[in-house]
Amino acid sequence: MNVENTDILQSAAIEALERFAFLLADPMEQSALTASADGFWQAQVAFRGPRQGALVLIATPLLARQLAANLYGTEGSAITPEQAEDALKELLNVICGDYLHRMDGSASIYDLSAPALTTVSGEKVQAWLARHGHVFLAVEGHPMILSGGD
Amino acid sequence: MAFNILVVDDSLTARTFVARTLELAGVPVNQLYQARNGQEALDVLAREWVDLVFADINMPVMNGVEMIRRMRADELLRSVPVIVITTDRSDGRMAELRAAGIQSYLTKPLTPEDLKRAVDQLLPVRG
Repeated sequence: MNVENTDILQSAAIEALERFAFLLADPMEQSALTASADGFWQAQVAFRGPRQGALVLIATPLLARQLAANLYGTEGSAITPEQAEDALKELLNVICGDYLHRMDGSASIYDLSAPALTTVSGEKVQAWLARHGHVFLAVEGHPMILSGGD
Repeated sequence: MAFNILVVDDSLTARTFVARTLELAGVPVNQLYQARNGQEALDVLAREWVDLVFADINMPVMNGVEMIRRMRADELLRSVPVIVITTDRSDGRMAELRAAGIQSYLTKPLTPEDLKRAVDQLLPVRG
């Protein structure tokens, strides 16, 4: 599916990053997406309610570690891969909840699945982007992509 | 006076974030307990004195609504205040949670100010 309103999704993501993780984000052009030596992490959460679908967040492991470091209040070098993965999933959970609220207001009830995370290559990210509407952000210099899920 | 606080969430990140936000908000904490789901929380509550519970709703094994219902059905636990921290701010969900017996709720992403305000409303004035 495609996200129905990328402006709203972008606003929800930027606010969540600032308030939840103390990270500054700005819109970015897709052409600025560069390869990541460590590949990308793709987190996905499904939602069911007046709308049904999924939201996907793609980021580098390096950004996930920075995110976790901010949330845990520690240095990035002290963050384990499990903590970084969990931080990315929790961020997606927060963004998805806020996005749905902004779309439908407080009258609609949604059930969200537990977020899941997989590792994907840069080629798969490009193929994903060709099929889905998306939001590109530069988060403290690191790329972050949000889109609808399959 | 410092409080014994239980944080219930299946995400370690979310639990850590609440713990850190409590610290940033200046809430005095004596013991901070953590649980990954409602059942683990009830196990903690069965053996420890807890002044306040922060709970997520969507959790495996036992979700937050069922945990709160069981607390309210237990004579020893029914007066322990519960603050739900959730991404879901719909009217219907809030009505369901209030019927289950929550005292307050906060929506993610929460701020130290939000959290302190909720704690101050529920716990006695600190000396």
